[in-house]
Amino acid sequence: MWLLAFVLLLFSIGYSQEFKSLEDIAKLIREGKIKVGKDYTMSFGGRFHNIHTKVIGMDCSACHLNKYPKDFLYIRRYKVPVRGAPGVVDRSMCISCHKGGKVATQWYTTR
Amino acid sequence: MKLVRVIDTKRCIGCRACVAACMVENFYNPGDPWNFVVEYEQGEFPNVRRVFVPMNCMHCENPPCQKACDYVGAHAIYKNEFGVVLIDYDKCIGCRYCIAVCPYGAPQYVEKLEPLFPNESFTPYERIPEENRHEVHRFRPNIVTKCTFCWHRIEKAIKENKEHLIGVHPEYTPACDLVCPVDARFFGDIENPDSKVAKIVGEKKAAQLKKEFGTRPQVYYILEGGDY
Amino acid sequence: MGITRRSFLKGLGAFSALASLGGLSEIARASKRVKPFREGDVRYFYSTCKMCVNFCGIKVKLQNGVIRAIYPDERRADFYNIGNCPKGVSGLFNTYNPYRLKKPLKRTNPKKGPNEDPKWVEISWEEAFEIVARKLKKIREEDPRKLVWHHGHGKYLLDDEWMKAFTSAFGTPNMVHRTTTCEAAKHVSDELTWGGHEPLPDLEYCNYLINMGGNYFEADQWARWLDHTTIFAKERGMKLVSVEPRLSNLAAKADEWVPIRPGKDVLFLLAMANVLIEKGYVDREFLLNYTNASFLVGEDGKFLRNDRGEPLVWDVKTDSPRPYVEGVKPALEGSFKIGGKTYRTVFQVLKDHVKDITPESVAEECGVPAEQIRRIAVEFGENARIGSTIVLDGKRLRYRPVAIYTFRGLTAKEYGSQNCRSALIVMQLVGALDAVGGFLLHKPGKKSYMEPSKCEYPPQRVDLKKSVFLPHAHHDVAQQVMFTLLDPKKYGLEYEPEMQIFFATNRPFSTSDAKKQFEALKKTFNVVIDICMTETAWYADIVFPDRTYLEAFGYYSGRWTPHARYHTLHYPIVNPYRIPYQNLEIMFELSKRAGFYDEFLEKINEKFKFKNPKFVKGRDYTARDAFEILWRNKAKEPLKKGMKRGFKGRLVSVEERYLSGAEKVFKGPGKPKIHLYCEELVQTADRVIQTMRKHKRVREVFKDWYELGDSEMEDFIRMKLSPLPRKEHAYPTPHRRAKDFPLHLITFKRMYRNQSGYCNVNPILNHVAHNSDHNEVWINPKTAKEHGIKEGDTVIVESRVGKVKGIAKLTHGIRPDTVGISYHYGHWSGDYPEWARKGTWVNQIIEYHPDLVSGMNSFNDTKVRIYKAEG
Repeated sequence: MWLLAFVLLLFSIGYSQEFKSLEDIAKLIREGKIKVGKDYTMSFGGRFHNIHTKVIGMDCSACHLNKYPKDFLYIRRYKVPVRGAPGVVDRSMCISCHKGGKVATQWYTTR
Repeated sequence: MKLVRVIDTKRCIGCRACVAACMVENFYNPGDPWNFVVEYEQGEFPNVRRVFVPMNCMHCENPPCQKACDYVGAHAIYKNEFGVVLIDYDKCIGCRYCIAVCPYGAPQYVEKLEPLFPNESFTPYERIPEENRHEVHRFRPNIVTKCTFCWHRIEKAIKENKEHLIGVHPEYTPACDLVCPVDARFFGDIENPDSKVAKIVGEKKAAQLKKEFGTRPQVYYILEGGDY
Repeated sequence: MGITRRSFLKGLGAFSALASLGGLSEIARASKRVKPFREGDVRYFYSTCKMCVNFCGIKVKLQNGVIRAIYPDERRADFYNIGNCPKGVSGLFNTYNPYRLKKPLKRTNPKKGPNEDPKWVEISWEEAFEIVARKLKKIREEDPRKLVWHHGHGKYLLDDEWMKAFTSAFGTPNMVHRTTTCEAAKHVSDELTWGGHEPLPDLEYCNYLINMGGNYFEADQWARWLDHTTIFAKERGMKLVSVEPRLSNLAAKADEWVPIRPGKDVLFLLAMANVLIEKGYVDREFLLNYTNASFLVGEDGKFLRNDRGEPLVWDVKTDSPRPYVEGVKPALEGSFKIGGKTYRTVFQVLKDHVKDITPESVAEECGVPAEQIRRIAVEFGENARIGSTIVLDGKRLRYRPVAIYTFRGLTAKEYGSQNCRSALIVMQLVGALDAVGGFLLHKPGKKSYMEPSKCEYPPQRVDLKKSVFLPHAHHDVAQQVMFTLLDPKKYGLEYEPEMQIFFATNRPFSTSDAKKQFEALKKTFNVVIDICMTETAWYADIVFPDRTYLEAFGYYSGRWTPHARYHTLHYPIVNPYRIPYQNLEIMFELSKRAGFYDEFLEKINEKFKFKNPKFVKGRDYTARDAFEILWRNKAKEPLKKGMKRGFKGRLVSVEERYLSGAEKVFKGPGKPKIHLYCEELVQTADRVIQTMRKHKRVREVFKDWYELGDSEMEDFIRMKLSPLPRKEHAYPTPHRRAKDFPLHLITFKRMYRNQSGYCNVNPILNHVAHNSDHNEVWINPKTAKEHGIKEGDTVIVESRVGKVKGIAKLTHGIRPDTVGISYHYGHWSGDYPEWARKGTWVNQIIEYHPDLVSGMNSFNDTKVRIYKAEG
């Protein structure tokens, strides 16, 4: 479902002239052929954000939730007094691409 | 040896002694807790419950933080032979990719080191010099820190040949597990079938959180409900 | 010269010169990898925590002379605590606190007020002692009663015998502790009923526990024993029912939460009594043998007595009234004509009294369905296993594994004593008192507790304790002092207090109508002995810095448990600010200079009943010397030995646990009886009314307290001092009078504070939870919606005596007709930083209507309205 949405998103922003699959894009990013920011950084405008926002074209609200389930077990769920870390991001959003190793770098295993 | 923690949320009364103990034991830098209690309500009046879930680093068998760190090329995060996931602050570049991938929100980014009493000088406790602090407590700005399973206490047991007393003797038990006023936390070697943790995981049907990530956490929960 | 305390203290801290901000990271960088980890000199000290009143065992880790951490004392686990709470764990930061008082201070701005800068000047200890001693001397010569001594936590730091000795040597009756801000009504109802206080549920064997608004998973005097014992009992199969308007941490873990309407507990419990009697869950043997259930009561509510004044029972053997002695077989129920008058047994009176108080009749008022009340009553009755016994250690014992526990829930209200009495009556019906698994009594049978009050007038004490106003206030009436001070003549006081000493208490901050309380502080010369600039200290004339429990000697007998008794000790481990005197030494010094040192020493021997060794007149004593004497008398061992363990204790036998209380004191003929029926209150009522008729002032005070007209006054006093709890006891003054205020306001304690002490300046406690640095206004989402209030909105909570701002917390864990605010946030002392002043100071809007029986403060009776703050 998400995969499809991303593909559509890519399409709509017209990132590339010739159609490339997400896998191909991911490969190009990994090979450094698509430059997405110099440093490995989580900051806004850094590599991490650029991949997700500029290259894949995800909306902020796809990751940063305004509302999250009551029983969301996540240390940094409360904004105060935690600081120096991004707001609440439900990692189940990441799972669809980062599990299985096909599209994005595999952080999570399938088993 | 595979060290694990078991947290019995059915017992937990939400007091946060474990949080306070963690902060004191690990030179808490304001804003960067290693241990935190997630609290929520279930149901509607009058059929309502409150649930308390203490959270800390899960010391995963498949730690995504380590993968991210390796991918970035920093190689600061490693998992040792006792199953403890640690961060080498010398290698940490503060990129925070580990924070981005951790499904539990465990790693904390240290932006700057601050005194416990805002705008006041450091207390004698905060001025315990570097040489008297274990490596896991030698913080600097622009690194990521997180729960170490109180590695400084475990390492002590190992050095003193007291591995069998990890999680048993107070000196070799993580501070959070030690202070719990209702005995809702246990620590020990799950590979030892006679250990308390091994028994409780079986008897009380302990579960791991967010299994779908395939992280295989080494913190087990006896759950009252919630996301697992 | 107007120099504020903060500005010069900044430069004064013993350590502030050594480290500058950011120094740590510089050291860190420079020494990276250069220095291998060496812990250095590490020592452990076994001591006692005094962050609250549980007196938990702690093990303090000292690394190179600095407190590195505080852990639970594993040796104390057999006696009391198996872990510690966040306060105990972070206690070192109450000591390593830059906001500590470090030098004696003198006020130079005579004006006192929350926004008045006291213009402190630092003075020497010598000068401070001289100023205060001169003042003491003068008062002692004129009229020593003009000195009022207050302590709250001070009692628990030292044990109050020291202060009793100090004040009685000085000659003032006015030593005031804080009991009426905690649980005085519970104590008094226990005392009227069975002549002791501090009972405990026998959780090791209990199978059904009803908690009436106690919250011992957070703050309670026995919290660190009750917590794990309850959790383990639950795992064993005990059912825990929590009856309270708010889903406290305890209710959150209970098997059943019964969200009762505030103040209506007495109805719930009387309805339980109704069901128990109707269904036959009555331990007749217990009632006959241990209680006054068989005593004959006349129409006037008093017992039928013989010439010797002994109460009589109806002897079924001889069909005549007899004292209950050997050979007499008393009737439990029935109505008897004696000398033309009708007498009923106490049990009959109770039965008739609750006959119409059915669950159905009270369900609506309680806000609890009738079926639920009925079911809980039946479950309680069934689980009591009336008639059963259990054999422990070869002894056959009564087995009634049910109990009702309470703390502020039943207690902290205008009808606190009567509410608590209703729980005691329910437990007596099933025979749970001092039975295995039931409700264990502690030192029962003290006669003076169970007698009518002398109803003293004019009052001797400024807190009106045991006077006609608060006749059974066996415990000090903390909150009344300031009200009396504002108008001493109103209460018939024959003198006007001139000086107040506050030792480790922030009294006026913590009680009802709090703003008014501070007005009284303007009228007296105030001395504060404390570790921080509390709000009370902000109104002081002289301030003495004190040492903390990690810096000073201190004693208290430990919290008893069914299985253990012990003495606790703490002693100096560090002294970072090099404070030269501790509390007790300040008292020594003041008494020396004011000329009553020898009397003080003599009184110490007397109050503590010291035998060997004793204090010797004329000799100088340090705190260490004093505690050597104390510990040798209490623990029968040298102080040095006590300092190795931090306590001395013993485990008790089955015999002592179950057979030394009610069995010994009350059981059988010819012995005093537990008061199922409190006839002493009827007699007290007579005396109160007599005095009231003689002294118009007494009437005026009652009028003011309870908003009454003249005609209803006497009936009202009788109702308040009723021998059995009544339906009227569910209607405290605001419920009757505050018609335009639709919501109930309840207050409660959270884990992260101890009363209104110094935890607000503890950075760890402010960070342990996302909301531990402030309190919130608990509102049910339904109510919030009706008022257009959203989560996090600033709301105004308004009562008849004031309004406060607060942050709305929407939660299903509170009744829709109730709002809840914890009562120890919202500090405003000018010395506290902004981060330590967060939250709502709810005490300023709490109405004051003391429990006439016990003097208990009315924390949970106020009615309020809420609305969204403008802008």
